[in-house]
Amino acid sequence: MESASAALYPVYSRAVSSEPAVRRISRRGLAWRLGVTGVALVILTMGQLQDTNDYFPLGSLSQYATPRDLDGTVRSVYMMADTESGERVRVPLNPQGVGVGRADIESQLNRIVDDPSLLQAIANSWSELHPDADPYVALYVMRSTYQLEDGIQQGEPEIEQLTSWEVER
Amino acid sequence: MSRALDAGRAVVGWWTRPVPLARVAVLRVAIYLFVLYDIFRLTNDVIPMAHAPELYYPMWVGRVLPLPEPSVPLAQTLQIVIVVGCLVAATGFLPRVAGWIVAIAYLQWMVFSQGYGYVSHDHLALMVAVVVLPTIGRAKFTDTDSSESAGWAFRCIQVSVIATYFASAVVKWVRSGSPATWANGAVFIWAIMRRGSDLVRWTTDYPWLLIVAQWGLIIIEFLSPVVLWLKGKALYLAVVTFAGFHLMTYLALGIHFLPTVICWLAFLPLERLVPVAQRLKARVTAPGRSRTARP
Repeated sequence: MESASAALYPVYSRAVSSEPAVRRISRRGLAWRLGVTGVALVILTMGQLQDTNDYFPLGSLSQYATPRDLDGTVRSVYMMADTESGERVRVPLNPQGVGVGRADIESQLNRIVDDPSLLQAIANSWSELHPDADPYVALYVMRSTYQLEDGIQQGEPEIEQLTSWEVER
Repeated sequence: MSRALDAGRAVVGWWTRPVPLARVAVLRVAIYLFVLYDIFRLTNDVIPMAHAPELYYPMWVGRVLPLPEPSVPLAQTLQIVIVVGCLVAATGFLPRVAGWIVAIAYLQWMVFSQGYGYVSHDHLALMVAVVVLPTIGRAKFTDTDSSESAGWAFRCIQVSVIATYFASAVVKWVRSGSPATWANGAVFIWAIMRRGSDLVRWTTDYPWLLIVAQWGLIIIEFLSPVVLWLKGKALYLAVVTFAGFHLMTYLALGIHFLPTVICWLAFLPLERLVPVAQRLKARVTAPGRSRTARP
């Protein structure tokens, strides 16, 4: 506990003794701090109630918030590519691979299916980040779907191709 | 009337409870050095993603404010500014100028990092910390005074740490209709099937076990605000519990939430590290004396 007498000294002044002092906030300093705090808390609360990331950095904290059905499906999006040398490879959706991550692709899935030309950016990014690697000539957005029953996985996943793109040089 | 005034005073007092300046000096080192770790290891996608600007799809701040579009030169410039700014700010030299430069550059960095569709939720407290630290001003390791403005900054960091858990429980409720629907569902099964490590894959054969774990998590998240009023051993136990939870999700799913974990430091009496560091330093800088003293 700070000494009681320290509280009596005005803003930023120090006790003459070596007693630890408390440096007070001025009225103005207090006012803007409480104002900013209030506004931030309101935005953060609205972010949760409206369930939106759009108020970033004060948007919803929706990590793993979507409920999943024990008899539902588990879907996972991934990307495959044909390379110039004729191989079919998995596209590394991470910072060391093409930069953009799997979660980014999943979040923008509708936008990409509506306009597959956006995938050109993935091919460009791969070539720019890995100039010596085998370039992509075609890209495929794939989705695997596992069926659950009482929370237990049933057999092999169903694989579907959501869209594809012939890479332009 | 006077009761309302007392209540108001209590709220203001809670938000500005003085914090020792030595604690500020220690936390500042931890936060600014962690920001460097963050931009090189965790949000290190900003420069690679700048190669695919067509996929930039920013949130509201990126659309409404006149912020620049991502490009490789800009991303590299931000990286340099953040590195220099953090190294200066961590020393406590020019705490306001260096701090604000880091805050602006780091927020822009995060707008890019989180501007390609997916928004991660582990950076709230760290972003708040970077914004509030420059408001404190000068603070030395050897300062014995405490400060109300430091108290406000620390409270902001603490509240945003807790909000990371509490708000996530609220969204689970909003999205599921009831907390029970979420907790009785297959979220952990879903997560482990998508990205589970070999260490936990076996648990998908025992859905009831994961449902128990889901109840445990949502209960802890709803109770998390209590931590803001804990002291001493109870507080340390809470910190260890939440850190342990993050260690488990890291081992199970590769999700560590380190940017939030580092901000838990704002709950601890960090100034006690200063005398320990001073003793260590004394031992390292004067080893010859004890040797020559021997006959």
